[in-house]
Amino acid sequence: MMRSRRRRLFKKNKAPKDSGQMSLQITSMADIFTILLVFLLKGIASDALTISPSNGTRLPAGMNTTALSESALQVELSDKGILIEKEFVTGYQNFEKPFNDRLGKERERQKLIAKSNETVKDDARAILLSDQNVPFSTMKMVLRTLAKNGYSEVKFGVIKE
Amino acid sequence: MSANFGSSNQQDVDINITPIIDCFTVLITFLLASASFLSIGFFEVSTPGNAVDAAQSEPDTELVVRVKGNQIAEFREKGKKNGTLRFDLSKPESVKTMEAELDVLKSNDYKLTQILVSADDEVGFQSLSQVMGHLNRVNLPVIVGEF
Repeated sequence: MMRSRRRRLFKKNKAPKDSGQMSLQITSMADIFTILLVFLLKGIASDALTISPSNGTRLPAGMNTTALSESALQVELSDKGILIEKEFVTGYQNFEKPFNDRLGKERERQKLIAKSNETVKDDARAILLSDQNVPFSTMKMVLRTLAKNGYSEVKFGVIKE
Repeated sequence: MSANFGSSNQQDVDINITPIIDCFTVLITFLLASASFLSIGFFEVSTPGNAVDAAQSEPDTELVVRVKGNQIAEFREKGKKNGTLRFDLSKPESVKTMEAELDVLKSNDYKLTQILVSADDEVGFQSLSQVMGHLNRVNLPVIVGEF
């Protein structure tokens, strides 16, 4: 009897039987998510307009740049060819004619919009995103064709240094 | 999580943060997918024949910057100051000399009002943008073409 009493006294209290449910502590995850969210919201570009080059275009770096304030026709000189408003127009072989034709169509479209909507003005601006390896001879022709179609103000896009 | 209102009938209120986690997950996924981590700046240039204001009088000094291969920028000055200068953009001291020259040309003595930029045919856009970055420091209109 003493032995059984001693056994009862020194018996280690077993933990209650496991019910099978496990509580997941997600408070720390909420903290991490909050920090991540704040960081990402802060990092969103404050500019009203964002421009991004397509996959085949590696922009060079540049300093003393300005921000983009208004939208304009986007012309891209990628490693494969010329794109207007993200749409592939032509490769670099004999590109003058197809490029000129497409620019002409864009210009006509703009004039039509400006004619029917008084708030929209005829736009002489173009944004040029060029791959860093595009030679000046190509750029010269592109600028000449842009000027011929009435796009006299061109903005070269570069990565801010 | 629970809040104790301190009343005699102590009532624990559990805030369920699972929906908050769901919202956060969706928001973070959206922001990560749409975020652009490239910061793009712009150089404003004009094309020949369109940029120059017709009413503008002929400038006292004309500067034509020609970008050559091997990161060389050649300044051809005409007018009040005449001469040809060469700057090696790979050398910091040469770049500083170029910037000093631009400041001199912009001053009241020479009244430079615009910069004409050209390059050799084989020069890539990277070299051109490097030169234009330095030229933009003086905030003068830049015209790019063949001069």
